[in-house]
Amino acid sequence: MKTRFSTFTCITTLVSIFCFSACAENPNPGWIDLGKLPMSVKGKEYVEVNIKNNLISMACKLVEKDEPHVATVLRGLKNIRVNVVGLDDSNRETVENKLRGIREEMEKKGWERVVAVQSKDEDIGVYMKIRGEDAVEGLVVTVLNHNKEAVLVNIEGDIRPEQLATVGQRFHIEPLKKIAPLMEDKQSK
Amino acid sequence: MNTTLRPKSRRIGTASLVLLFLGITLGLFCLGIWHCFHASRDLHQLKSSIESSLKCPIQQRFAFNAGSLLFGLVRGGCSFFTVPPEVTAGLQAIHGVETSICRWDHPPKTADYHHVIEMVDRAMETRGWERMVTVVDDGILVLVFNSTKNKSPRDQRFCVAVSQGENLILTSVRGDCNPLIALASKSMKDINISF
Repeated sequence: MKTRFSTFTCITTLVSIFCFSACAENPNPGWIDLGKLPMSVKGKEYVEVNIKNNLISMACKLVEKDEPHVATVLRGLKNIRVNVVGLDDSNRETVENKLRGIREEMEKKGWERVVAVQSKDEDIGVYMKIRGEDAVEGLVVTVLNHNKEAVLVNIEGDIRPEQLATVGQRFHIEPLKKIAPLMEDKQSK
Repeated sequence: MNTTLRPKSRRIGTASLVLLFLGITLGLFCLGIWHCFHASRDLHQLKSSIESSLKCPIQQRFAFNAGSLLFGLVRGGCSFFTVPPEVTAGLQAIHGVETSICRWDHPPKTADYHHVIEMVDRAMETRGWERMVTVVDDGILVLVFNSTKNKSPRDQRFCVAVSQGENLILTSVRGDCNPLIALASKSMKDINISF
């Protein structure tokens, strides 16, 4: 009886550890850990916006009557995070290294780079985490303006390209209009 | 004997009831006035967490707390006049506001804002608040929190802290987002966001 009980305890513990580690490894596939981006010592701008599930669902309730197509898009979203860090000599190198690290980590975790623009002053990257063939689990936009600022946007949730285009057109949001066809192309491939 | 005493005792009873009623009314009025000039525990928590994280003492200069009764009266008063739709929407949306204006004894010249944000987050989380927006720019710190207890769009609570120079302004707003969203969606047709 004692042996059976200890075997049962061992199995339960092992299963729990396995489940816990599986969850801990990938709790939200569309969410990336941006960590702390160092602020400039000279007091250049630092902006952080975190819109979580409760606020998104509230916004969804508000617009579902008048804008059902916008509500459909919002319903799929889980989290939105935007970070803007002003750059100067005190934090430029650290932020650039941090962004490079984030991009490498995303590529390791199976994120696809769908847009890459590199010029003398700017480095823009749009990454997507695609689930199956019909939906995107996460979207990350990184903009590094070497002289001015670094911008990081992470949207987590069920993002469908055709819905993004609707919202982009309805609210005249140019970035969404531009990203939507790219995402559609990527999915059709 | 008894017949002569009854009206007197009745009179005493009525007088004491009236006195009791007046006492309670006066007490409630004083409590209301006291409440009008005192910040809530949430704002106190926010103030003390900023104070302790920056290690600079702050003095509260002024506090004002206007509840739903006052806003109801203002809304009622405004209904007799022609008011711009933005003002009407604002009055319909806001159910309560409290503000606390404080002044630093010695304003912090430099600060580790990551540490400040972390400390304030920890303190506010215990009271059911979650940081939504952070802005640090040239010595200005703005923190916006929303209540995790916010379930319905009709009852939303937000808390804002702004520190600039010698001043620290803390505000908490309670209200219904519907009128503002309705106004925003009307105006949205004319907005064009681009980059």
